[in-house]
Amino acid sequence: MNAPTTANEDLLYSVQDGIARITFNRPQARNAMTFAMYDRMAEICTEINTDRSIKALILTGAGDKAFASGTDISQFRAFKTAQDALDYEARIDRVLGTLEQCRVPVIAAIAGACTGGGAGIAACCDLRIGTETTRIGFPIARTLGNCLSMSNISRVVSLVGPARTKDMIFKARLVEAPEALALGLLNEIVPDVETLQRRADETAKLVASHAPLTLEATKEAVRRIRRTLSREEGEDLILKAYMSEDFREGMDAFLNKRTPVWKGK
Amino acid sequence: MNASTATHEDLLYSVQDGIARITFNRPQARNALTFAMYERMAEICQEINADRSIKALILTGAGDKAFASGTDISQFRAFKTAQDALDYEARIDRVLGTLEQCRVPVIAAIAGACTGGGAGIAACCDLRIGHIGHFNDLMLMGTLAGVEMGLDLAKIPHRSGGVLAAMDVLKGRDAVPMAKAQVA
Repeated sequence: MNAPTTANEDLLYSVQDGIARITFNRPQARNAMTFAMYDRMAEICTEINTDRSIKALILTGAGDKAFASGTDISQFRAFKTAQDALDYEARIDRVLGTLEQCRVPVIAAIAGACTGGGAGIAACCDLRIGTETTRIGFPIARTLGNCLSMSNISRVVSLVGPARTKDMIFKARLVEAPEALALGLLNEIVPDVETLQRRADETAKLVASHAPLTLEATKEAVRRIRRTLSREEGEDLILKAYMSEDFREGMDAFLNKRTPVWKGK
Repeated sequence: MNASTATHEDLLYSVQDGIARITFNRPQARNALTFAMYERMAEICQEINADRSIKALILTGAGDKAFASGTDISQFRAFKTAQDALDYEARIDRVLGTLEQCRVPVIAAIAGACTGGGAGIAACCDLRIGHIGHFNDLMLMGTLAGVEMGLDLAKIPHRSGGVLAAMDVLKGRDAVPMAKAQVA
């Protein structure tokens, strides 16, 4: 399957009564994100910005196993040069920046795994609803040995604080639903995936009924408070991780289902 | 006892299986920090930066009464001039900056009092683990130097069994203008 050309199957999009819905639709791959899916998501956000009939956007994953897991690892195989790594992070930053600045309230309806790039997406949303099976985290220190971009990590730090950010990433652990609720990563937990979709709809309708300019101003103000360092200020960190032997090792270990051996170089 | 020359007793250092451990070892003084202890801690962090065999660093205090209290007050007796005060702050900033930038994950194992300079050290660590019997002692004393610590003590989650797995009390938000303890 050539993922980049099947975007319309991998990412479903619908609009009903002013509520837009994006469904990450690769349940066989725990809804791992392809570049085409990232780009389509950003494109939809841009469309919504110019369509005043749309009042809210729901993001969700197909099935009950995952919201979205990270970027499909196979997408990393093509990385050859330092510029590839910088281009990748720039691309993801642009996509997530577009999502974060989508004019309407964005609600993440999260069942199951919400990891890596999926957690990065969830961190850009305004409201997050989970189920009892929701697990959120960035297990990169155990899996790939890469790192988060400055904008990604600054979103997580602004949500849960630096201490908890380090706790999650250093221990390479996924935060389960009750803890995610306590940390403010989730706004509420519902029992199952059917209730989740219903609750996401109810929430979308509720916020769609409220003063749009109040919501827009609040959303943008909160974004502005989070002062993000420029991408250039994080380039050394990106290159150190992505150009390392450890990242190659992490990728190889992941694809061959074995435990990576880290060397710190 | 001349604290400034007794560094190796006042601050214990060991390495086992790639895990380094610093123990503040003045339990009779609630592990109050001498300048020699600060300097030795910074020196160890620099050694660790150059030694890839070390994977993590644990900081802890001897005994169960204190992690570390502040700078030993006796160290301030020598202050005479404005420059002494500036030099002191510059020195502590340099030491804590070195700790904060230590290459490996730094874990603070905190029993009892973690105050003033000790709380400053804990705030430089990546992970903080506490003991449930003592968290009421964890207070910030920015009073001596009149500094605003800017630390936000979040509500402490706890586990059954009495041990806090991840205390996360120091969220370290720079912009918070005053020390605020929310220990419920």
